[in-house]
Amino acid sequence: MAVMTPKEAKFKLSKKAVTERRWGLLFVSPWIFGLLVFSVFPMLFSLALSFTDYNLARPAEWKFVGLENWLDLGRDPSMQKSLLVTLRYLVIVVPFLIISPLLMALLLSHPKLKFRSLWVTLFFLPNLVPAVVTGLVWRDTLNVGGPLNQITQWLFGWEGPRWLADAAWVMPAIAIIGLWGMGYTMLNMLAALKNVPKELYEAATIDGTNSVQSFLNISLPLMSNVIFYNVVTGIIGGFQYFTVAFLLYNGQGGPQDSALFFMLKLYKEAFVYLNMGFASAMAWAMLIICLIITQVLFATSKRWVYTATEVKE
Amino acid sequence: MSLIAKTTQGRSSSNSLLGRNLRPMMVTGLVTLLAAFLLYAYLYPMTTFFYSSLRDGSKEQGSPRLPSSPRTFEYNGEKFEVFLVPIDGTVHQLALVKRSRSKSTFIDPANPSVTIEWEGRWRGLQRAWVTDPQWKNYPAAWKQIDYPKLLRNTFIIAFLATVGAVLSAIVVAYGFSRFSVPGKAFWMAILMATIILPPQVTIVPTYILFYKIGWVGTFLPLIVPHFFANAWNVFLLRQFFLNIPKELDEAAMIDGATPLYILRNIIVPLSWPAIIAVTVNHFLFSWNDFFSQILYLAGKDELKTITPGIQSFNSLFGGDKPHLIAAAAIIASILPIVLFFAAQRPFMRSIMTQGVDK
Repeated sequence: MAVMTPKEAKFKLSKKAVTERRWGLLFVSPWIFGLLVFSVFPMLFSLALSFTDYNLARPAEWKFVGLENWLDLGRDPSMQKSLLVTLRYLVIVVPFLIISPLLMALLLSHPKLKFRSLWVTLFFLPNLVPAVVTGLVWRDTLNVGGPLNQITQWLFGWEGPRWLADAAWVMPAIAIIGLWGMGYTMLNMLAALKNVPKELYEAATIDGTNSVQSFLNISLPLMSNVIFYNVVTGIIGGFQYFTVAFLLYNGQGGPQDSALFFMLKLYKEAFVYLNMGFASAMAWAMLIICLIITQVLFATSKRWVYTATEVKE
Repeated sequence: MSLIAKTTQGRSSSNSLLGRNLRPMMVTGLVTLLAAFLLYAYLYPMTTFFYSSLRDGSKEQGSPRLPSSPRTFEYNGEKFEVFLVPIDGTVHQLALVKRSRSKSTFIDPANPSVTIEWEGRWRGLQRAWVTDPQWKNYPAAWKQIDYPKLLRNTFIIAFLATVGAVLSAIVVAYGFSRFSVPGKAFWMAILMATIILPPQVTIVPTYILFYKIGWVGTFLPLIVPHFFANAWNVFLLRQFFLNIPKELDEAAMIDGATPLYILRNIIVPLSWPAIIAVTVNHFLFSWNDFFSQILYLAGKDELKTITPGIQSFNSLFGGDKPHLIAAAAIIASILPIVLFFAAQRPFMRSIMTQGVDK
């Protein structure tokens, strides 16, 4: 490097700065090492595997198959099924698990609410339970003739759906089960609501806005970054959905494969049939899909997500 | 919704003292009742599940919500079933001593020497129930699923993984918060990206790697990777470290303290809330994890952990022993809940910063 930037020049001068850099590198080195060994290398290895027919049962006989695995992604009917299941999850479950905790956060941040921290704590409780246990609890609750069907019977005189046995109702059932995991999102949203400056509401009340309008015009925009974050993690969560589905249907896909989540399909391909090549293509395709979705979200986010700094001005 | 109270208060037209005080009180009552009702509905499945862990496992028709057994009455060394018998418009709990098609003989458990003749079909009668929780299900489940083994294995994994995760995150967060690491902005961007990186992208090659070095079927793949700092833990601790005044370590530095000394004696003692949050969070993650445990410990019965243990117990006996499965599942949930209450404040605060800071 012929030309030194002022910053570099400064480091050259100061011996202290050089030792500081060395200490810094030393401290962050475990993470960089982990990143290379457990993220970068596997990702590249995975990409390479996706062009082979590598099978762990006969690891010596692998050969390059070109784009065969990638083309199979489009040809394999159960692959299409699992993408469809995940798409259904994104359309039904993700919005439901944004709106429900949002409504709960609104209720729990009501200024007149008594015993607030008690309610918040107890609403968080089911998040601590292992997912395996959550699945067992809700399988009983959603049973034909179980508590939820008794409620529909009592309220509407309707015996209710066969939640976990009817392919059309599996995804709504997954959404309801997902309620037990809403504690994290709810706490995020409570924190966001708490950060809204009180003066904004007061000014709005003086201007004669009603509560719905001030929610839509003040609270919601100021929460949009939290909502955005939870939409992104919710979508990625959809591709990772595994444990509850595995438990409910003993590792199978459920009625007509209506719960053959992407991760379940990947698990079966990679670790039951040991088709590591095909599974790697699946993983990379999923990464690309997730990247596209999040990029689209980020691109449009400028229109609907307000950042905190913009507001404080 | 937080505004409803304000606007209704403002619009309150009543001028009387009573009216002015009543309105906010009613709002308080309504929102608090609504919260209580929703919580009841939210946790209802948990109570049902708890009750089913106390049932006796027989599938008796029409049994009540509380774990109950059919009521019986012992008289002169013989056991009789108790039924709800309607006599003259009131229902009595009577023990059936002699059954026949259209006319049966009952006795009143309170006064067994007198027999009561009842005209009607006894098969049409309902059983009387007594609440009878089967606490013995818990020791039975404990023994049948071999809990001591599952607990020991899960505890070894969760404890070592947490120690590794916390120590490495502290060190890395210290590096990112206090030192001018070359390419810091780049590394921080990568760090943030790996928080949302879906882990399945790396799972296949990572499995192959562990398989090749002979780690599949041992605890090592569940422990060792955590010693290289998880991005989310680093992010959380770094936020906390940045809020500690830099003058503190600069003063120590002038006195000749090494960076390690500063980390141990200044940064860590001032960061307990964040460290506790990260510790609890990671322990819960390891304890509740299912995917990596079935992946790396499949087929190794002596290394089996809690969540796969419950899952396989359920797939073997799901139909026959729902009460024992429920009991086993509840035992698995006790430690996470206790841990949460012990570290509630820092733990919840750390979640509340998530998303807001990003």
